[in-house]
Amino acid sequence: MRSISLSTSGSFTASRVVVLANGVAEIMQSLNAQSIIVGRDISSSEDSLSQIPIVTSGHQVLAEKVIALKPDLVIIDASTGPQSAIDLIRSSGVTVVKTPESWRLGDISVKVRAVAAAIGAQSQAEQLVQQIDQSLVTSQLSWSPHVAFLYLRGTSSVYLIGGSGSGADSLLAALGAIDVGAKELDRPFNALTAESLAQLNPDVIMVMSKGLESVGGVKGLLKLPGVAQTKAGKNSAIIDVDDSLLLSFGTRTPSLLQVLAKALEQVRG
Amino acid sequence: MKKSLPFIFLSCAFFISLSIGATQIADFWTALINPGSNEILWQIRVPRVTAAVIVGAALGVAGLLAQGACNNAVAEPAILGTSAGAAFGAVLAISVGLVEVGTVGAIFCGTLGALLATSLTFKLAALRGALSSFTLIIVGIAVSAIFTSFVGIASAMASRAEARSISFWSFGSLALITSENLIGVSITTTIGVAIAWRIAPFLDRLSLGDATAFHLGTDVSRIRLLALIGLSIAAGGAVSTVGSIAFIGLAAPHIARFIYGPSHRQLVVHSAVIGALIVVVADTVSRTIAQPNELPIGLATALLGAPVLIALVAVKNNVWRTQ
Repeated sequence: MRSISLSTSGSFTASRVVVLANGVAEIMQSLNAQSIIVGRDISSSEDSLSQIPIVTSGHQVLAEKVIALKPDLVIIDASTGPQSAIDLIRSSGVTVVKTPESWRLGDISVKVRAVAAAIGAQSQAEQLVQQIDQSLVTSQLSWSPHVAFLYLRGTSSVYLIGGSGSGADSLLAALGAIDVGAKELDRPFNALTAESLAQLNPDVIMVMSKGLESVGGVKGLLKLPGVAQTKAGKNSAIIDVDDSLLLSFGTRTPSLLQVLAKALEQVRG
Repeated sequence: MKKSLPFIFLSCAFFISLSIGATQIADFWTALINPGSNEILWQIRVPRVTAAVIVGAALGVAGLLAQGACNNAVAEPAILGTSAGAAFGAVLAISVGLVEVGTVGAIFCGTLGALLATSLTFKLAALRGALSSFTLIIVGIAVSAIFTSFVGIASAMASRAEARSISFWSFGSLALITSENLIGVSITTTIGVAIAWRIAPFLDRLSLGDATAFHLGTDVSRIRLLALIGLSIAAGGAVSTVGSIAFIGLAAPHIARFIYGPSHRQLVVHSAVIGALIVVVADTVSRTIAQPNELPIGLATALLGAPVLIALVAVKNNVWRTQ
């Protein structure tokens, strides 16, 4: 997945940064600040970061590992935890900056500016935001598919469907597709029985790659009651997107939108 | 009339269960007499309610066989280790990628596990001489606990999520049933019921005690072995398809015995029908009471079945008429 990046590099006010928030590493790379990242959380999973140590266990921050890296800046967001670990890091004298989470395309610029401000790269941020905004202009699809964004946990008897504010709704709206979950449901994620899914009858089902794996791939998904009865199930119109990419809303998002648009055209029945 | 009452109740429950659910089915009766017309009805709800009938019948008869073979009022698949063994057999086979949930292969492995666990219970209980009811139950609980923890370990270690969760194996769920899943469990249930029907007259004699049965010319250990096999096949098929649904094996035969007396031929039919009735009602409750979520069906069967059993014992202390 191509990321939008600045061609020039600059100087930063921090020199050893640990990132503990989804999408922050991606933005720092685009600001040409990868060299100052010394630690990351498990959701910062891009290949280019593979040499940088992970300081979380699952999604739990391990304060010891963070402090051992001697950072001068730690970037977190609202979902970073546990709080006790953050407190410990702070009390050891490290600057901890909380950046906003992003759940909509409109949040990208806010997040880019916040991350840039934390590392002292405000001027570069404006350039980057401008480039992102330009590339976010997408061509509309040739059809308006009804798409359901399903959060799958292989073992569960009910599905979770993305509703309003799931993140997927913003991506789909930008492409001119109709998010059937967001249309009906107010919460970001909602429980859904097999029957209700069949009734929503989406043209396309969008899932995260790991979720798809957990039900045994496309073959397994198509066998599940509820899925098989939808138009998406009948036409095998299933789109899966990398877990950390789909809802990261960062500099890879413009190119994700293009890939999504292409996939939605391909599954047109 | 008394004889047909459970059938009438079961038919009513069957149609009511078909007519209610997460979605409204337009023109329900028209859709029902036109197979395949309404997808939600025919591909989701009909397989599910049919599975409830089959599984309930299997568990009811399995419980009857357990009680008859052990001559013990509290014997049932969950207590003898049969259910836990079946779950273990299925989970193990699924997590190593040998079979998939709900297939005939999973049922075969589940039945093997059920046989293994049940035989283990009987063997260990008979270590110190004659098979006492008390020892059998205690050993059964221990064997159950061991196999349940094996299930937990296997499903925690399995990277394949299709192996399903510990909650599925401990409390059961009919949410993921498709019509293909019905084939295997129908076969095992038929075999279980047939064996029960065949040995029912001998179970009558067995209820008089091993010695009396022997003097009446019954090959006690052969009947017990057949009962064990029938019990394992019926319960094994049910558990490997929908997980362990507690209480049916205990409640259905007791209710049948309370209403229809101790003759096992009658009890085979009525335990099956009453078991089916309880599971159909429990599944309807579990999928409608907390919408849009679904409760594990085992919670509903316990809530529905346990008070019935307590009431039976309270009204008539001598539920187990022959002891």
